[in-house]
Amino acid sequence: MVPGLYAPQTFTKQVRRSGNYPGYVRTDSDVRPYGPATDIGWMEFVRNSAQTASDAGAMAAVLQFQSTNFATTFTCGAGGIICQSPTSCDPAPTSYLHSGCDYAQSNGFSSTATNQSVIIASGVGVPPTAPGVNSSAYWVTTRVNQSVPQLFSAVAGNMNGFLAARATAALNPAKDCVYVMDPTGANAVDMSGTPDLILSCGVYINSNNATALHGNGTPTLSATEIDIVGGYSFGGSSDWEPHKNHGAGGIEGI
Amino acid sequence: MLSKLKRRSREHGHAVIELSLMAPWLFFLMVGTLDFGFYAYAIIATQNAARVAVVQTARDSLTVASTTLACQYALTELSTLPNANSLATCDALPVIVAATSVVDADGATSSQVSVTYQTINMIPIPGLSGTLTLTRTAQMRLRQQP
Repeated sequence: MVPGLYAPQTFTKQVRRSGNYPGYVRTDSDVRPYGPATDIGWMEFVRNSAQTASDAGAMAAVLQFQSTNFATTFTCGAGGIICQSPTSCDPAPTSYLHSGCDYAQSNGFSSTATNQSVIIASGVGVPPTAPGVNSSAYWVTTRVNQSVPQLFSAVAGNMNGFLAARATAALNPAKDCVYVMDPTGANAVDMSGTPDLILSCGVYINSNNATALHGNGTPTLSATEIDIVGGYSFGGSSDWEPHKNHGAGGIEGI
Repeated sequence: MLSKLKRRSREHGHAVIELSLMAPWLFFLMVGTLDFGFYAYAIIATQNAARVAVVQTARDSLTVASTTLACQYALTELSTLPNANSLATCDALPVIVAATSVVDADGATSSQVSVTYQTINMIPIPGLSGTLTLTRTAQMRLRQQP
């Protein structure tokens, strides 16, 4: 008698036989999708939680690597750099990668918990799991899985739903070679007239001023990248290459 | 022809009895589903709010415990909820946000954001309150350690 439990063929037969159960039929067909919908809603919540855990885990592992490893070249197995295929957090890694497991756990996911697993992979170069990231020296990927027992969908034989969330954090060594250390100054870099500054590396302007970079006249600033914490202004026919990375993160303590 | 009409009439009666017996269950099922749907949407939004807020507060030591910053991003995520779309502060229900600085097992500083959201009063189901208070917490290590 419970709507939603009717097999589709029985349901069709009733419609054919009488063709005159409008309320009955409509109620049944309306109720039927609610079961999976509630399960999917709950799984979406769990997936979002898993995404938080994997984001925090990947970021923490890379930051722990950065704070404990000072290698200038990135080679697997050399200088304490760990590269590994996807490996469970149970047992907990003894390397800096343990930080990824710790943060996944502090966000509610652990390999030792029932129905959950946290897996960490790492390597050098471009991460295979982050399309569009084409420049990287070292990366860590955290994957969080959980099997979620189903409530209403279990009636249809789906006892468990499986979900996964993945996050990758990568380190990209700085490409800058000129740092302008003026945290708040206006015109921290002021190029007026016809000066040329041509570099094969990047410029980092640490000022958060709205006119941290100012140019007037016909100056040329050519660098692999121009990072500015604040803003810029220029008049005349200033030649800036490449496009500026306006809004770069500030460097503390300078 | 007459017997056909009689049979149809009997079937009509049968359907009415079935429907009247099932109606309370159907009603509570639909109300429960409606409530659960909103609660699910609310908890997803609350979880997203905590995640987005902690990504922002985990920037550096200036933002690590910035409840103001966390509130700003949490409210943006919660803006689709009916009782949170016009809020400007996060110090009382229906939305409470708190950002704190915590030290992890490695001695590094991390930011922890807690978002509490109280739903609107839904259709009450016997035995259940019409409102639900949800709290989600997220923690992330600071990208720039002090």
